[in-house]
Amino acid sequence: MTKSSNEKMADLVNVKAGVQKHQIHNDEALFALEMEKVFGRSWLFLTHECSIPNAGDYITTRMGLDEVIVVRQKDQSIKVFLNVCRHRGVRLCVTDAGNARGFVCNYHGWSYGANGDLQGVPFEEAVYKNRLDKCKNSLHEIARVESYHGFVYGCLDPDAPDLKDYLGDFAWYLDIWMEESGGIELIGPPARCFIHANWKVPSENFVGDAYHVGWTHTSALRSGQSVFAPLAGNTALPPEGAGLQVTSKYGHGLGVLFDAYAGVNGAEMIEDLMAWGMAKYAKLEKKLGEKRARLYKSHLNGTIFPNNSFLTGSGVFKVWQPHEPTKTEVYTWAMVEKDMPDELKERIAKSVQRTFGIAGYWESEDNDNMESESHMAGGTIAKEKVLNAQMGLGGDFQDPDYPGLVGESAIGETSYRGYYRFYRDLISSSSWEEVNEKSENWVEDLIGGKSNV
Amino acid sequence: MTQTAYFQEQSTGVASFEIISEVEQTLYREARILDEERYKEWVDMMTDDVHYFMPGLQTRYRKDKTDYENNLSYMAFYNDNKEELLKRLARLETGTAWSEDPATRYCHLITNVEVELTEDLDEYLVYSNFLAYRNRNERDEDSLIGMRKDLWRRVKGQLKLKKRRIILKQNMLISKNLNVYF
Repeated sequence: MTKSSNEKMADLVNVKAGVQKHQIHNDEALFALEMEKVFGRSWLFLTHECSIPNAGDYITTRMGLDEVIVVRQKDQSIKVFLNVCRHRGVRLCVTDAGNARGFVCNYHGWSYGANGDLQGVPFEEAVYKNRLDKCKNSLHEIARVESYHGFVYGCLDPDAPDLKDYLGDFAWYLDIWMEESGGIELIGPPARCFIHANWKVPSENFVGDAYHVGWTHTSALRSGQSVFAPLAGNTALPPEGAGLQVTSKYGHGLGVLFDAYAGVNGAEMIEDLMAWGMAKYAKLEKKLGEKRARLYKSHLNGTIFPNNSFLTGSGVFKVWQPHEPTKTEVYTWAMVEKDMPDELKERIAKSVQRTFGIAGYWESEDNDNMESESHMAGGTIAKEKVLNAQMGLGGDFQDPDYPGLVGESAIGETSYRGYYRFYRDLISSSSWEEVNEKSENWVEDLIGGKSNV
Repeated sequence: MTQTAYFQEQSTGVASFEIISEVEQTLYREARILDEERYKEWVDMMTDDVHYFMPGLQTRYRKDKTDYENNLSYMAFYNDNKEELLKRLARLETGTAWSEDPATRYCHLITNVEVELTEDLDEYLVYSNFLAYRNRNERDEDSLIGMRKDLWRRVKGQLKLKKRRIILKQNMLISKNLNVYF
């Protein structure tokens, strides 16, 4: 019997064995399917509320292959529209950001209010003889938009879970830095560049790859002398208990290196950042308890499924926007705590661009690997082989202190496996209902793994 | 936020042929030093209080006067003092910058040089355009084109770069990194 297309998709990821087919990083047909099933169904990061504070403030961005306008309304709510004129489908707003009462199409001059209503049609009476129903030609609105502690996400699928449910166990970790810290601001505009890599390659790296730091970034560790410097050249491994790996039902995952709040910031920043982190930790400890508050003063690398990554402490916030199977647009913001003094915010913003910006001395090594991993997946033989994410396989467990599923040591590939487990369910299902049925036993799926399967 | 102009220095007239020629030769030498990756010598061509700035740009409507070219607190590709530049360059000297081995091949073309005098007789405002070509391995190839505005200062008879603002003519970098200096 031949396999259904959903079954074939499911074969791309072997959760029990902790492997994925290399093909996933360079395949036209799969990419098209991902745009529909991954980007058409997941909650996608759009902007931060602080980027559009006033009525009429807007930014343009992407949801998969669709371009959208995100606009602050008069009542302070946020609306999201397809950036497409209803008349002949031209890109309506052609700028990255700004403030506007509305948008006028360059083609025939149809104009829309910031609320999406079609307001003006040149020579409407004369040419349409009052037969054009303007109410039926408002901009296509993205119905599901939610703000999570100021981080604005949108979803194209009416059947997807609410954002809070979508984040699930992962919200417990996000809330520490997004909310309990006093709140976060993103400093933009985001730096933007194209990498010739599949969008999943950087997403998987941020979701759970502490392993590469000591080797890939040897040069950055030696020259920057950050708190991670002892890892340079793989001369040392973080000791047992130095960190944590976490994955969750819907693929979101993170890695923790405890008490490393200053992250990748260079030596000149460490003292001031650690002082700031420790002072706030002392307050948070009373409220959240030692274990949870400790995560605030730790360094967290993570990805909110599918393509939104962050490094707390290092202050790095990223979105990996897919354009083609091996072409991804990278947005990089600096992330700061709202109550930090302006001078510290500016130093962090500068530092983020110096480390993980386009000219960043950390990022340049990563991007070389990202492109290479994607390019090699184009090989006729190579694409049929599997990628190995078996580190720590069989050792994942549920910890009463930490929501989600936890890996057994500081460095491992628990979150890779969790990310691709959910990815498998998304691309091999025809609806969210089916996704949820398949994902019901996600814990058993992951903890039953054996590398000799 | 109120912004002060990145360049406070005003032009007081065009420099002499002799000075123009001296500045041009300095810019060409600098370009060769960059092409040959002699970064220590490159930094030696700068004053101790140098500022090296390449703002990030956004695409906005003409009527929107948001000014990124003078605002140091927005996202920038480069926004470095001497110490920070040295730190970036130190990465290359570790011998472990994997993405630079094998080496990138560089070629800087410098054109449209204009030299203007300022109120300080030792300082010159210098405009130039650049084309920085780079190539690495089989597939990596970029031609980065833009404009520079510099302040060069004469220190003990030698011209030293004191301030440089680089405007790359791309709002989004159409390549994976900026491992290149301008």
